[in-house]
Amino acid sequence: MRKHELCAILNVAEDDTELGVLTKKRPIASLPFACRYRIIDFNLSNIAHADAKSAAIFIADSGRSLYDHIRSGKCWDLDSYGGGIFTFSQNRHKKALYEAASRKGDFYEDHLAFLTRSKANYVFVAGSKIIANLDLVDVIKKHETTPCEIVRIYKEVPKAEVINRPKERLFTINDSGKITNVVEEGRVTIDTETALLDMNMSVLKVHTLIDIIKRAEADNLNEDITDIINHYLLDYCVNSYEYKGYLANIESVKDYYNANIGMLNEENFNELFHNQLPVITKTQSGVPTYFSENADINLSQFATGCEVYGTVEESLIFRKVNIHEGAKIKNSIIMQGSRIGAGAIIEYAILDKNVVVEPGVRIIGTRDNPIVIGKDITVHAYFWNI
Amino acid sequence: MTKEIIALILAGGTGTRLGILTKLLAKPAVLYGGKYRIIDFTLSNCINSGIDTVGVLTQYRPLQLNNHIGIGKPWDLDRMNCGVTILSPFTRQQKGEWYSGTADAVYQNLHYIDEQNPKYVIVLSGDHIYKMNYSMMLDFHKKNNADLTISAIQIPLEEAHRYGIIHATDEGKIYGFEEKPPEPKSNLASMGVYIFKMDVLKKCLIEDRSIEGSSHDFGKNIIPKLLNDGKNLWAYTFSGYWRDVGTIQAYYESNMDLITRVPQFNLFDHNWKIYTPNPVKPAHYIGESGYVSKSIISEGCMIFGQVKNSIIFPGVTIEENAFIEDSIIMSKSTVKSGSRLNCTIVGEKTTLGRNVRTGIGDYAENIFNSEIYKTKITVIGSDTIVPDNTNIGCNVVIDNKISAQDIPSSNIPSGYALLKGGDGNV
Repeated sequence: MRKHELCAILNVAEDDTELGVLTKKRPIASLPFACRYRIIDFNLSNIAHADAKSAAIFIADSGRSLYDHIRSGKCWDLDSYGGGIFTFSQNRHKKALYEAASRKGDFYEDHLAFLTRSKANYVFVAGSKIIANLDLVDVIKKHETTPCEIVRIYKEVPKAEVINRPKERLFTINDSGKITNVVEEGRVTIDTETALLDMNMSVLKVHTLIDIIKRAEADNLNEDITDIINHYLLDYCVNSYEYKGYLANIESVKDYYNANIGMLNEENFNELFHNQLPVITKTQSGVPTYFSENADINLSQFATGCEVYGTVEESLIFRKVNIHEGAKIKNSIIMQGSRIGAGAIIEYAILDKNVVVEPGVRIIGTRDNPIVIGKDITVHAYFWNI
Repeated sequence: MTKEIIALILAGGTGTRLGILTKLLAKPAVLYGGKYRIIDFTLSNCINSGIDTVGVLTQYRPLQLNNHIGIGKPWDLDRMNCGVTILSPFTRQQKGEWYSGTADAVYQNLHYIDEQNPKYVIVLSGDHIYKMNYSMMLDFHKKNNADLTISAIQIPLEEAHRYGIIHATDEGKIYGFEEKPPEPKSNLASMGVYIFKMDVLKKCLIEDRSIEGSSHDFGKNIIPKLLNDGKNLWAYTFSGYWRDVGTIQAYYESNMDLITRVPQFNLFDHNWKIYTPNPVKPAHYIGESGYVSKSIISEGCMIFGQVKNSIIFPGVTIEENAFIEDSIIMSKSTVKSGSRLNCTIVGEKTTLGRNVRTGIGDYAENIFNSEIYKTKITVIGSDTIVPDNTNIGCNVVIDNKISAQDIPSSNIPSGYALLKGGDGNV
């Protein structure tokens, strides 16, 4: 593809209240995933593989954890001349200010400046909750063959996967693949075996998005970019594109837990990481992981830099985790820099970064209710032996 | 601003004693320790010691080495007014010439040193495994107002004949030096780490250049000459882990030191990180049937078999019922189901078919070269395919780029060598 054919706007300012302490100090987009990634790596990789040179990222708050991760965008080749990563933080604050002052008109100034300077013909717009390894070159190829202004990406999923998730948007499409209807939140009544799950990802002609923004301005709609696209979606000719790979949707702590643990399924893991274009992330100089003579490992994943002396079953161990003699970790997610003391027992738990578990501590949750230990917390023996 | 010190890393050696491991690439580029290349240690030592200007002198098969170093980003050597520079041999208006010795290689790059114009130059080897703070050696050098400081290490006397041997007072003042003496009288060996005063280095290299019969070697010529000239030479004693991984056995043992966890050599030390380009690969996956004990494993591996006492590089697949023991498996290789590997080094991107056995039977002398291949370690090269059901003995060598039809029989006895003709380019 031509350089600058594609640019991207990523909305990472979405609602994250259901993720509790995990998103207290970071957006969903920078949640660690699969031992060494952040969720935004998937979309950044998706656009990198389609040769995108510029990306705008709209962030709810300060965005510290995102900046720390993305830096210049070099890892995704997003640091070339004329392109780059453009970050716009404090969007939650901005929205509140506009609301309070009933301010009108220039809410989308940043979006418009980015789009007009990007020199791109197409723009990929996505939210931050969906994990997918998407071939955008193929999406654009499809776009070029139709007269439609927008291509929207969906995945056909079994009914059971969406029936209890009122927040999911579903599509109906006609025989030629055009999206004819959007089933919004809370109105899910499905009479087919499968449903077409909206991935909140669109590829639009840049002038179409500018048109949508102008309409939102005229209608005094000060919303996230993904929301205004959804608002006006059916006013346009919208083609659909079926994504067939692995998908995870991170709305809640349980989703987050299941999506990570889902990576222990070999088929899912290969589908997301080994059979597609590689997922790119910021690399660190990780030492190869060391397993001692007494380490006992069963169906688990490890990033680099770990030292493992204990037992690990059906768990994901992120970078630089130390697991001491006799510690037992089962069905858990242990994030970067955590230290698990000798003889500690951890089951069905999510330990955020740099958690220290003292020797002999037991942390035992359930599959439906995994225990979450927040970042930098030390779990003392006298406190947690329940 | 003038620089205090710059480093020159000698990385052009052929490393012939590593056999097929260095047939296609320079010794400093040989993979080591589960994800590194040997030169990473020297490069990381430089940046960790605050040396930010590094010239890497290459000559023998530099492609992988050049690719590996690139613009020096992994070592933070991609800075504005310093960083890493690859210094390869070049032609001049009159004629071109190869580097004919370690000292000659530096001589031919005096223009690089002049351009940087440092007070001191540290000359390093790119093929040693160690973690060393050169800034402490520089302090020692300055304190003694030395013309040359040589870093030295105590070694077992029986190995001393392989090294440059230093005779020095208790304080470290050098009064004698012998390169590879047949009957060594000291066990203080030179590590091939030299700090020179820039003008001393320049002067002696220029003088050495015109000496008829000189092999233009630091150990053989430059150091004895400086001693003769009455210069102020000092030995800086280093007491940490240091290995010249010049032979297959030494290379193998040093790798294994990482899993026996030699206490003084810990790659997990956050204050002295060893940097290397990082592969873009997911975490490694250990399946239900997988078993790992006393091993190190890198990113992107898929482990369904059993791994014991072994070093596994990035992107390796070990299939179900395969059993790897006391072995080193380099990047992107595959060991198929039912195979049993014992005491074997497997190169990059090599495939061992189903039910391949290695390390079978007793030791036998290697038919090709009993000087290079003289332990029970079997070495299988890169880009090689070993067909299903092949039984391979001890001390066997199978070359790089061997295809299934090159393998004459499904039984390869101990001491056998399967080598490809030519220089390995095609």
